[in-house]
Amino acid sequence: MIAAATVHAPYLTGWPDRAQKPDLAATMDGFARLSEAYRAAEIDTLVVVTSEHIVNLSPKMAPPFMIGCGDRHPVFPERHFNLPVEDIKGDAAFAKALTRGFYDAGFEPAHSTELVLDHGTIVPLHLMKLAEAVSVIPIVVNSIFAPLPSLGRCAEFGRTLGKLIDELGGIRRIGLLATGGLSHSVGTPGVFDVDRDLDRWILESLLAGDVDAVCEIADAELDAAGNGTHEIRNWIVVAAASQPRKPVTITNIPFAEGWNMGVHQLLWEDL
Amino acid sequence: MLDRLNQFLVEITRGGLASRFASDPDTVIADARFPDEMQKAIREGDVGFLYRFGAHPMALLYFARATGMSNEQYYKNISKE
Repeated sequence: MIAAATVHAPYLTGWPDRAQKPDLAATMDGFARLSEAYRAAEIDTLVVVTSEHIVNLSPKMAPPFMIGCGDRHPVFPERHFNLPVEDIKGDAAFAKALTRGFYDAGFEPAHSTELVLDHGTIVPLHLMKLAEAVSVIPIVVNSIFAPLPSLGRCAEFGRTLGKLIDELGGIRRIGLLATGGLSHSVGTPGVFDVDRDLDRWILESLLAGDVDAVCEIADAELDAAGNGTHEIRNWIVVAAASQPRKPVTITNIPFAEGWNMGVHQLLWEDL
Repeated sequence: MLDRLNQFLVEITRGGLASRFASDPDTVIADARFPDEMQKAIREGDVGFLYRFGAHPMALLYFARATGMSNEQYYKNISKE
């Protein structure tokens, strides 16, 4: 099963001109290479492990995991980021089968027939031009309203996801995608900072196939690296689902001036 | 009160109170019955006060955008002591 992980920052589409030209070119080339890999694998279904930004979750309701079980997924309009607003095709039957499988396996994710997608999902779909080509099953991991699912629990969730896809996928050709940034901040004074050492260590661990090492990072350390860093939960889910395979680096820009963030992309190639 | 404030910021920017807040913010703020100082901060878009109170940064950023504040201005305002 082919899998990838990528940044989903809305600046990529909203403010492309703020980046240095080489960084913009490398980023777009990365999305093109990921798209090409998914197309070469002839996927028809993409399970997207993603974060959302207060379009489904809120302080009054924030499940650790939520699966989008709709035939179509509405899109939260973010035209200021130059993103499309058309609904995204889902796969209700497979999404519900996955949900039931999780319950049988000891996880109880929330499920929604009207899960709303935002830039966390739409940016990569749009830049890979995949929205029309595949059915999307979004799985939202709560990375914004504490308490959050532990990193270890995310890894277990991912291993279960990998097994369920193998068991329940049937004739579908399924790809996996994690979206989210490594160290970054949203809405706090540290918005222009990244923790390059932490990012490098996370990437080296994932490239070595050592998901468990990444799971040992304390939430306080993620907080110190920036509140957005909690999105690495999505990467952990997909990395665990892809074990024992190891990924390769598609894009590694430790800090893109102008966007003021790192741009990272990994690919777990299809066997 | 912090949880209620965060939920309120969500409701007035992208939840059930968004359209009412856009057309009649004073009434929506008054109906929420926050302490006077908090009501004033919300009414005046004082994100620095709300940030120091502990408002959720993402909810607060979206509140700032809903009031027409630029990202640059938002980050400048929350950084003030």
